Amino acid sequence: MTFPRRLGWAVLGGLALVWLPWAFSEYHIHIFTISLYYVILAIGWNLLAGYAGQFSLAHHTFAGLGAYTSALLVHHTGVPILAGIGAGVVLAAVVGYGLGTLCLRMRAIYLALATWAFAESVRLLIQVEYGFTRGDLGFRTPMLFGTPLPTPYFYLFLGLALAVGLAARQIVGSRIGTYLRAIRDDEEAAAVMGVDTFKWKRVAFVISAVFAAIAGGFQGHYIGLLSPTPMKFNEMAMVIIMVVVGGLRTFPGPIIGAVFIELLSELLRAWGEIRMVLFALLVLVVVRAYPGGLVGLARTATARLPQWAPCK
Amino acid sequence: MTPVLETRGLSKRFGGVVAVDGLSLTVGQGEIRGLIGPNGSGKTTTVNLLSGLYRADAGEIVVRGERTERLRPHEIAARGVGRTFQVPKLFGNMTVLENVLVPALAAIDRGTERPLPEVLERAGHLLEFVTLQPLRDALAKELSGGQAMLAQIARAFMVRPLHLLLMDEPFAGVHPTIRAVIIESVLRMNREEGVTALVVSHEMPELRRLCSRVSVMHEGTLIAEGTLDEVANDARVLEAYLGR
Repeated sequence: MTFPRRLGWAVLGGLALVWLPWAFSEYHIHIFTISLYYVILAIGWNLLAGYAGQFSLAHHTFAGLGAYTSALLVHHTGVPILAGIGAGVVLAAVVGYGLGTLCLRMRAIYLALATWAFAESVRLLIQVEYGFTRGDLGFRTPMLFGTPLPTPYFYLFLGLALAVGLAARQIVGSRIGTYLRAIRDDEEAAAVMGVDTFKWKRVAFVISAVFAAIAGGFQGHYIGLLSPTPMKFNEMAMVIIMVVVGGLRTFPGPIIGAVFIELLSELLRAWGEIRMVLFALLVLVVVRAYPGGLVGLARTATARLPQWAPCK
Repeated sequence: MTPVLETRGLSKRFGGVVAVDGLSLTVGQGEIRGLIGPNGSGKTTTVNLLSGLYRADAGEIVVRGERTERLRPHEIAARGVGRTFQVPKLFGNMTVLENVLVPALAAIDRGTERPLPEVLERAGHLLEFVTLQPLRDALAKELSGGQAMLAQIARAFMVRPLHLLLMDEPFAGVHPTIRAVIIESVLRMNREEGVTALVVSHEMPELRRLCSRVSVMHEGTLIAEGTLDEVANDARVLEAYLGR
């Protein structure tokens, strides 16, 4: 596709997204907003697991850290919300750096287990510290725009998702992206070719933690009530499902996957927890039959299109 | 003249197995040295120690006068040591050209990068050198075993400045035509850029064309050194290969 054509499609898509709040109900806009929250989480995890090959199971925890840090700071010290969110992002970066330093010399399943243990520890800590976090009772947070109506938050998350997406694309297209892909494909070969594998894995870990904390921080001040429930493993599983179904290691994969799974999840809301079983089956089908996910499927279909065209 | 590579009392054990046992080896500037020995004699472990993938239990590794046994692999690469693996380890989801560019991109991180046009020209030149230019845009995972070996060699040549090339069984399972390309490539880099090489191999005809001297390992130690003809007649070598 030529650049002007691509630009045209991008402008058209952008206009369609901006127009959404006029065409849909508040409920639908809320769902779209939550989808965009997941888009940010999925982009971050895809950068870490898809491009760098580091299978962390603590991604959702960084979103929770961002949300709780901001909410607690705003509540206890009275700092402006944006400063609270900023502090949450900084804390996530610092914790990500520390956790990365501890865990990123581990391989595969050990890294997954260590990050999962960290995630559960943080969740349990928040759950049991009633005096400070109110645990399962939930912690009230002030609304960023002073209203629970979803439209301004939809635009906010649209902007955030766009910014995070462009940042991730920039990273993947840069030399850092090449280091990460080399590390994922063969860490030993990357190291003997001069790549400081540990440093760049940690950089990817911190960046993905920052993305998650940005999403979590803003989402906390949209939902208005924090609880440790979204820090359960279910949430991490949802992010993994979104990326795998959308297309691991592709740029549009996590975006398409997050929107698709979140919308599907809403459609199947009446099914309760059975949804997770359906999603698990979906992942099995995708991994077995379409490893490239929805993006891979679309690319295959597009490649076949000219053969079906009756004339050129 | 300072040797390019020197090991003194180098040792590595895995549990109760001593893989390398007090190895002392010296490779001079501009030399292409063969490293031979029966299976399990510690040759690959030695290469892994020299490239930093394994940490030595004892002993010293000196590359161009600098101790490297405590350095990490990327720090050793930064000192001009490149290597290839017996089973080619390419970045499968990257193109052949991208694979070859990785050492040059890694140099940017160290602040020792070269101008991009120069890097691209050298990558193209090296791919031409190893006959892979037509496949530069192919994914590395689509290459045959021999082509993958050639891509590995081109990639190692991109480490700049390359002082020492470590090659682990470059001829294993490779077609004779590709073997000839490998030999020609190494000889040319040695002739034109003065690259020193340590080549682990079991393939004597190829080593005869490539190396003036070989070192023989057995049970983790050096048992003989000299030309192929000299070591072929050495009693300890015959005993190591054939048994008593």
